[in-house]
Amino acid sequence: MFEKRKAKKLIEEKMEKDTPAVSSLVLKSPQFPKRRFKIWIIAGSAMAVTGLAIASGYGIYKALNPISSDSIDLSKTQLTKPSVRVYTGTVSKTSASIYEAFAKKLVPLIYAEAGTTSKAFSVFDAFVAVSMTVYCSNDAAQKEYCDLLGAADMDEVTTAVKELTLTLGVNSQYVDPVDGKTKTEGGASVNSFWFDDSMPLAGTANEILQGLQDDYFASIYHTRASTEKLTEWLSDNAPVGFDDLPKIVLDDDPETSSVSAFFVKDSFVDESSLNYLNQYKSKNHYLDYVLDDVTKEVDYIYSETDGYLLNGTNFTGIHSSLNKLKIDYYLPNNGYTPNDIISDVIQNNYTSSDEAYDFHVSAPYFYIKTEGLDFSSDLKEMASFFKGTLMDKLVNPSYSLELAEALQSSVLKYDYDGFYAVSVTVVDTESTSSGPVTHFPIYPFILDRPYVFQVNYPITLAGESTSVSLPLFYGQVFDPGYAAA
Amino acid sequence: MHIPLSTARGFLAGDVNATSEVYLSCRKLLYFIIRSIVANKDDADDIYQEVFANVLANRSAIKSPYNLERYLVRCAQNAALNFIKKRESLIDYSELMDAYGEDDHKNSYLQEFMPFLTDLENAVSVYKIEYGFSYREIATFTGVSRQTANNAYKSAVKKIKKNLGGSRNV
Repeated sequence: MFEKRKAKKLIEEKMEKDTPAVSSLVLKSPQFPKRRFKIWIIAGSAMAVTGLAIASGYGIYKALNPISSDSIDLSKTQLTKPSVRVYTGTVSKTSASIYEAFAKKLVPLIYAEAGTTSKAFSVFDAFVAVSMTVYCSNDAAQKEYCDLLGAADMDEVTTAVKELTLTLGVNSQYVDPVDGKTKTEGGASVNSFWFDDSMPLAGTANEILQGLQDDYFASIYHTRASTEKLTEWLSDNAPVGFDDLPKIVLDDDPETSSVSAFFVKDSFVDESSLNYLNQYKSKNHYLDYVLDDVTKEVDYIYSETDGYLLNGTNFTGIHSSLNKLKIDYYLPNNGYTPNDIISDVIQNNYTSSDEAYDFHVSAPYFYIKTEGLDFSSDLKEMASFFKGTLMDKLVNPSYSLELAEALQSSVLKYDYDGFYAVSVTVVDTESTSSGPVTHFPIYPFILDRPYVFQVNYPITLAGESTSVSLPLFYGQVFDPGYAAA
Repeated sequence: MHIPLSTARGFLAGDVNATSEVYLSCRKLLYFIIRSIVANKDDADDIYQEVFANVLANRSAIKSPYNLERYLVRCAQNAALNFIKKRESLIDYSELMDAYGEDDHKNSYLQEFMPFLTDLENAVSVYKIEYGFSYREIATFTGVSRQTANNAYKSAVKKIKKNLGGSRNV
């Protein structure tokens, strides 16, 4: 910040002016015989310089001046860049299962506390960031995490992160053979890892840093993360077209930080988008939306799709599609709220209707900005090892690092441009065309009161002919929060 | 203050260049530590010279280059505390732990940094802003708890914004 830089300058000038020179007689003290040293890591040394020592062994050593916490020239503290990523589009059944297990274990805890404001949670970047932290942690923590997710070992979790990143997060360009246009496959996943290089590192630190670079595709910075640095990093790494970024606020400058950002955007086909824009500009295309017994007019998108009605205990739902992403909407029955149904939604506790319908869907525009959602207590509830020592494959265990915060900020938007979110990217390589036109009974599905949505990314599993939808975002909409036209 | 491992090894082995490098990299911090405890300039200057002389005379006793920075900081801190203890006939160090009384302005040297901050806020600001130390480390330097150090820094930042912010609103 501007003021901190001023304060720093003031401090430096004063210290330079005041500090006396040490007498040259003192400095020219007698020489001592040379000693031999063993290379080891000193346990519990809060100010040891092993960070640089390990960094040197790691091969990309950079001699650094002291890095103040408000420095935002990130290039000076970047130890490595992530390994090059190439889109593969291959996700194994095991990897998909691990990811889905993570979503089903964590997301219900995130939404366990009843709220009355709109809230979104991005699963993908949470999965990557949490897995990075566990990857750097002790064997017992890894075993508990793997048992929780149904993974045989941490290698399977790491493989899941890698496969999903190379499918969902590479932002690969391709030419659509149907219309010849250049399109984007997948979203963009960008990760980084930050650590205070004055901490005593563990003997396995080299290997861990290498894994973070190769398998978690993380840029590694040997400096503490801070609000300013992460804001700068996010801005530097946001793909073109992602200008509305979430605000990241750290309470403190933590000693280590595993960071994962995910960007995804999906639009309607050109004609629909133009039509929706015209409706928006007309300022007379509104849906009456009821919140707390008050009706207000909100912009919305009307679309038609066919499929089966999803029947839950106290709600109904539908699957709908954009260009590539799929959005599921779940509307609580009258008298119920999103809080009452979200757990069942996450656990897929519903059945499909026997007959298909032509859904006439009216879905409000929404704009959900979630800032600093702290889910550290949810992680601790999900798995007990989050209450203990973490990061001890990177940092000497005697340093005893524990979970401080698990924060997520996100921006999700749904309007005439389609769906926009900063965090996870999803690309559907399958056509969503429904083949020959079949007429089903019409079912108006009008989201005219608070509801739940889930954004999915359909993938075809390696070696399988069927596809599965991986949940990327869950959201509760109370006030849609989108500025009216 | 970051001393490369090779320099620390050279220092412990008596290498002249490494000694000079260590001196240059830590002189300001060590002086600050001493003078933040012993505000009087002449006394602080004497202690400062003494610390370097002692460190150089006893460097063969330093067990590991990994601990050099911590060792130097400890030497400066202990020398200053010993001086105060001797001067004020204190019985134990616990009586020194409120050297940076949270709301007091006892240390004229610290007050010269940013007069609108308390002594503790000034000390924590130097450690945090200039050196990027963790609250754990600052707690060690100052004798206050991590939480107190954290609170002092947050309070200092607010005051810094207010007093140094000028017309720019960040």
